[in-house]
Amino acid sequence: MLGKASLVAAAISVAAVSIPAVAAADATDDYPIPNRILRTTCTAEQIMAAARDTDPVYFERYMIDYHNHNPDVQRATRDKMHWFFSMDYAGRRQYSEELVTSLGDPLTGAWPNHAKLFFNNKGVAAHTTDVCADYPSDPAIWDYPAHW
Amino acid sequence: MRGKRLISTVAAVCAVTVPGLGLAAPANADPDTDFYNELHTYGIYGQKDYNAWIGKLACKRLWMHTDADVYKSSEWILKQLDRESTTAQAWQFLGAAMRTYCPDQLPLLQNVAQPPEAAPAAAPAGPALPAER
Repeated sequence: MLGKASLVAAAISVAAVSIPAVAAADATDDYPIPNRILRTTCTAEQIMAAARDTDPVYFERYMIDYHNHNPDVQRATRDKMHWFFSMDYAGRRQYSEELVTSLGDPLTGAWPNHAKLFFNNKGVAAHTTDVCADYPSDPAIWDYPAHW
Repeated sequence: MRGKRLISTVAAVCAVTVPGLGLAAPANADPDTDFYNELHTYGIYGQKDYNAWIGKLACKRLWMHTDADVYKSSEWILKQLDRESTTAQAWQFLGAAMRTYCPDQLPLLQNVAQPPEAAPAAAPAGPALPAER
């Protein structure tokens, strides 16, 4: 019995050791939002147009997901991306910090992957920010049809 | 630039005329499988789902005029394939994709595969020769 109790105590202390490691997952200059996205001068629409060409399957899946959400969620997504890319580096970096420490906003609750095309993949961020300045900032990209 | 386009045209001719090889394979109920099998005859491998996505999206880009012509399509496809892929394989991929997913677009490919028409003989320049007077 004592042996079992010791095991439980040991398990608890191991858990206690591991908790600080999780809590230490602070934002960095490249996490959770890739550095390229923090620093780009492109608009959300320019990044989307670039992604359509550089990472077409990733882009297509995002747009299908976008169109599968109701118009309020779609509008909130557009607004949030416009708000984010209107900020300078310091503002974006601050938001990246908040992403790690906060429990998320209502939009995240309605559509957890609403920023996936922009924030979730460093490779995609690198591809898109390399060429996004070559694309027009056309809001029609949000109407991209979600079928082939 | 002109030489590059000539090479592309030759590749386009292959994309239109070579598919007999692909058609020799038994047709499946699943077009993605047929497409996948045809790509193998060109030495194009990779994931079946990914290739099907790219094939369908190549069609979508032509329908939406994202790609203005089949030259742009093949350039875009080449960027989506493995780095070792060749221009000829990009054209073969495009031809297979169009036959499988958007046969209505095939005339675009056939048009660039037509041999260029012979230029009309130029009129002689300069003053008329004595025999012409």
